[in-house]
Amino acid sequence: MKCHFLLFFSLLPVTAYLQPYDAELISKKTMVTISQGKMLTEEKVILQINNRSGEKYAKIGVPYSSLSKLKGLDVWLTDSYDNVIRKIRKNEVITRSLFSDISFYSDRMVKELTPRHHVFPYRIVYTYQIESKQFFHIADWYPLITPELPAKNATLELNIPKDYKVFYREQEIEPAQFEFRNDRALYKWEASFRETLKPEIYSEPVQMTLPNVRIVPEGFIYEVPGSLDSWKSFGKWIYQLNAMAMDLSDQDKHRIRQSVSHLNNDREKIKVLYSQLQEQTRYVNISIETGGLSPFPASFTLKNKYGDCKALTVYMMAMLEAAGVKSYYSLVYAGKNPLTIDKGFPSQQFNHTFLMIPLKGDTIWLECTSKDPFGYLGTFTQNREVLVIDPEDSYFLRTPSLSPEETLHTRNIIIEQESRNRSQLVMNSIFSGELYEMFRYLNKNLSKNDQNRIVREYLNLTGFEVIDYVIEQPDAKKPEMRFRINASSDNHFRITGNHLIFKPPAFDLPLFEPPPRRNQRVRINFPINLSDTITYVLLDKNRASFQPRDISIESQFGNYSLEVYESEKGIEIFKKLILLPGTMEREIYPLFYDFISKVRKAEEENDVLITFK
Amino acid sequence: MVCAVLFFCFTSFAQEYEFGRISREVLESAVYDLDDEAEAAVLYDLGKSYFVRSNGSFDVIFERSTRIKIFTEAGLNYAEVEIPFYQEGGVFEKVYELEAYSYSLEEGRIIRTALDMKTIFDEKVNEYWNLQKFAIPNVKSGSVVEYRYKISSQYKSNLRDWEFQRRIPTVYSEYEVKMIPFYEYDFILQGASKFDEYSSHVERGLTRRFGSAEFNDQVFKFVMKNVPAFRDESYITSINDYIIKVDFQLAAFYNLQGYKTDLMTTWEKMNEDLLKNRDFGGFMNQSRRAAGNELDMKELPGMSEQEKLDKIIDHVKTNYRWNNRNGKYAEKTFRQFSSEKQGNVANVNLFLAGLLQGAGLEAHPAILSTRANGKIRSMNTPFHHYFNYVVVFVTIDGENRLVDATDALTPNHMIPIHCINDRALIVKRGQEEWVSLQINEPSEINRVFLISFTETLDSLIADLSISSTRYDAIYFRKRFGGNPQNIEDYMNASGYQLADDRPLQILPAESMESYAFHFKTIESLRKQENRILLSPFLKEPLKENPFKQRTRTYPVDYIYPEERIFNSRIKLPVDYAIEHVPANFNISNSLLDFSYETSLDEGHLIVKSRYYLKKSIYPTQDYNRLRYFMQEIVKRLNEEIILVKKT
Repeated sequence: MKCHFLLFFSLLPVTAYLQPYDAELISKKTMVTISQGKMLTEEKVILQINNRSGEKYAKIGVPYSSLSKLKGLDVWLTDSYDNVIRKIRKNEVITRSLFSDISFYSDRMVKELTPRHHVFPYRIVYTYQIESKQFFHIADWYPLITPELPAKNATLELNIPKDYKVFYREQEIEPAQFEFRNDRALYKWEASFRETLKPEIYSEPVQMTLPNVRIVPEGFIYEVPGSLDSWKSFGKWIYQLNAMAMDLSDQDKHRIRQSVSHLNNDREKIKVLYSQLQEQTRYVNISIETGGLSPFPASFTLKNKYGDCKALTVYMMAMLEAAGVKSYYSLVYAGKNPLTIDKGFPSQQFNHTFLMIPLKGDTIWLECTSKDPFGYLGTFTQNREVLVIDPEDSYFLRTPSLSPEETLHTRNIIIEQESRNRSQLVMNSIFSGELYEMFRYLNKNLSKNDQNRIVREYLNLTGFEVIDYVIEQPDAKKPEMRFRINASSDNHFRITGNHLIFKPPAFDLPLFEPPPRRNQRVRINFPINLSDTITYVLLDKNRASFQPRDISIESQFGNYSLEVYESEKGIEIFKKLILLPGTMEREIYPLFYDFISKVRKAEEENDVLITFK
Repeated sequence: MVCAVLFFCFTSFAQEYEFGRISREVLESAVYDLDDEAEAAVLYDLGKSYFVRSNGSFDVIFERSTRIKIFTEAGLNYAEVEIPFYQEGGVFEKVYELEAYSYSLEEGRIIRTALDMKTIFDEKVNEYWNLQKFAIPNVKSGSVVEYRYKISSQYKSNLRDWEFQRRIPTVYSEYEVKMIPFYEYDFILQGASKFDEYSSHVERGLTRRFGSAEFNDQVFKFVMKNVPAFRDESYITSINDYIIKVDFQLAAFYNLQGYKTDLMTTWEKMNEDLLKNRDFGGFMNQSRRAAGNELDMKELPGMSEQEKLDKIIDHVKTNYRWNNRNGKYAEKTFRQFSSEKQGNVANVNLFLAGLLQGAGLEAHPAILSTRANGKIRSMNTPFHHYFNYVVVFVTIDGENRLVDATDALTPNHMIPIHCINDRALIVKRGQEEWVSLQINEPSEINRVFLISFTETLDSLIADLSISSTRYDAIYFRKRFGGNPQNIEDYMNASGYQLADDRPLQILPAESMESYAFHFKTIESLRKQENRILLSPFLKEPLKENPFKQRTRTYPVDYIYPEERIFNSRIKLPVDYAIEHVPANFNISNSLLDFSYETSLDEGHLIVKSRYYLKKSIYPTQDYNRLRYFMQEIVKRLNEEIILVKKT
């Protein structure tokens, strides 16, 4: 054993960059058959584990639910020549609910196991079948199991009746082979995956660059009949699911109408009802597949005062309807870094809903799951295409994008020297955009204990100890948080010989990969806009013999500037950084990296040194 | 800013805990008087366990009734409730008579909303445990929620433990257990020295019958009041070790004739039971008998005891796998284990113990509780369920050792870090013997820096070699393994710019006990006009004191003593002179050693520093000094050197 390892490690420096993968996908065969309205998906995977580090990929998880029934799961181990070593027994498989961070409850289940063997390489072979009777998508298929591992060979076969109509979308993959055989239509896609991907910062979601085939049926029955012929037909189906949930009683509708009847314009009515929603309800995500995309009824939400995004949105829509205001349920892919909706491929590509209300000369967007100011669209839904649902005429509309002013983060920092080493810091921060959202959540949704921990971690003011802090939202109607902190330090000012040295607080810059290591495009979803004013109040007004020079760096990607003034009291430093939103091709990455590196260098080398006389 | 908040003294209303009766004052209150930062508070938490007749035996009934006041939005998740229930072989514990309500003030009126029974969900956590989950409706800041339920269980060993403390404060918590003479339980209180109220009496009047026996319940009542919220601290083993709670374990049962079957009496008895158990002693004996097939018995006699030990541990590590599951009992039969070549920790290490015995070595299993599982809290009564891991206690050439074969990346004479938790019990017939798991030998990280400058004085070039020993080596080996790419990722994340020629190497290790690597980095140079600022140890030292809290409630658990060595050799640019170097420094006391010194050597500046944190666990009373010294270490290791251009 010892010997084995010695050899292994001493060889490494030579072979380091020729290393084989820890694990690899030998083959993946997916077969989808649709007959008499039933869909059967059969999967066979052969995964080879090459060494101990590869064991982290040996974990198999097969999710299923009451609508997608698991028909069988067989797992066995073979050596690399496909000789069977042993079959996995039933009691080695664990069945549990599939819980996630976002839902309180989900009825999805998962079967899990991690087959291990002591001789490497070994192969895990597993097959399973899933049967669905109600479905509105047929396959969302990738010729891989994780972008970190290569795949030698993967095939997807689709076997459907000749007259069964499907739509499909191919991405980074060879077109399908197609043939009719008897009364069946057969499609086959074949692919391998060699360019493995590691996560890189500020890149598009990895699904957007991987090879992928998506298939949907033209017509389907899921609660009610639907069609994916066009966005209009998809929208109509969603509309029908929602219509069943708009079930407030006449009495409740009357009460709601009365509560806003004294207001004479729609905008005011919307505001009042929205604030009622925000005050009375809370977000609880209960995800039950039977019922699929259909929301909990408005009457349920009215009674229980909680719901997920669909339930809360429908409830708000029902209240508005009762008050005589027409609003539109809208589907969106939410998140700071969203998948781009493929508009040429009508299908369920969304993960969130909210409301759109067209008023004269103004469009109001209402996020029904948050307690943000009226009309606030944050990093979660800004600047993207959303599908506005209408019974006959659904359409896409783009949400407004966050401007640099709306993402500004300013810090006003005063550092006062108390004695030679000791200093006091007062920092007043104003957050908008992403940090507004984060601090609002911190302030409202986390316990004081968690707040303290996160504030300390976030601070990034090396050497300072927090004395106290206040987080507040001065105006509930404005998406802006203020953060005031008092801190002290015994080592921010360092006396070395007859010098005083200190390093002004730096911006927290993202660590971009050097160009040789960057593979993906850069995507910045909203502006990064930072502004610091740092004032040093010093005991002695000795001459600074060493201080940062004024710098201004301009580029197509954004700007950075630093200015230093010596004043009566001490030193003042002004810094600004703007990174503009956009998507950047790999070819211009070296230019971008050069800009970021210059900014980083300026921030790293901004020490101040004062020589005592 | 002065804020008028409605202030309500909950403590004076501690006795108000009748289900369904909510006072307006409670609903109107805005903060908890004893902890104004609390997002919610448990107003009362009442539990009761008792035995009822069922099909010629007894079931345990557990009742709980809980009321929680929610002060802020952050407390809303206390309106989402989970009730764990157990099953074996499809025989489930039954949760019944569940009721839940919320109370809120709306326009001055008290509004009560009941839980809709259709919104109660079952979730499967693992093969034994399930959760019943529900979200109480109509809850906002200011609301009070309350719920009660019963669980009936035929699993006598599942007599519910009781936690008096949560992450929010608790005003009143009471647990009552009515024991019957057929089952005997032991209990342990943790996190507090005594109960606020404790009583034990024989229930009068109600004489019960079972077969020919007549008996009265023995009633135990435990009460805690005004329990503060549990607040996390870093460097602790597990929240389970510190929260205030009472644990029960079934100790014995009696049949109608009065014959007693002891489940738990003394440590000696527990050892005996384990050795008799099919999945413990039985499994080990089968392994011992299999030694002849597993090992080359002919070569053994010529080997020293040490060689035999290494040979056998290597054999198990190479041919058998741990499936990452803990447990003190072998989960697979011997036959399954030898055909599948994998099993839980008891499978692997009892197998090891058996082979060692088969080879003629003195070896015994030793059981312990992993760090995540919490401490063994009772030394008086043998509480079984604290133990979840098996290692092997072996005597080699008269020297005692603990060994483990679950992890190929841990050297043979060390046991994995998750085992380092107080003490282990040696499972040996007829005796109680403990072995300390405390680690006294330091693990070391030694960093050597060779620093020079580019000719144009734009950048700094540093060759950095990092070598490590013992637990630090295991940590690095697990994190980086044999893949330099992993080190490169780590270095990039630390903010180093790897030199273009990529001289990044994992150095050949002399043994599993060490791990070393080397890289070269180009750093920006903090230079202006005629001066250069230089950090001799680059980005390696700790930047912040890890101990930020002013006071500490729990001991600081470092797991093992740490030794950190920094040696930097800086080639001075020819036309620069040293303007300032930090002063030499040396301190040595019972907590730590720390030294810092500089010297000159033929145009090079040498900076050396070393600190050694001597204890693996620092008790609370050491905290202030430890915090002070860490501050000193952080400050001095990050201190700059100033070079000035010669005039």
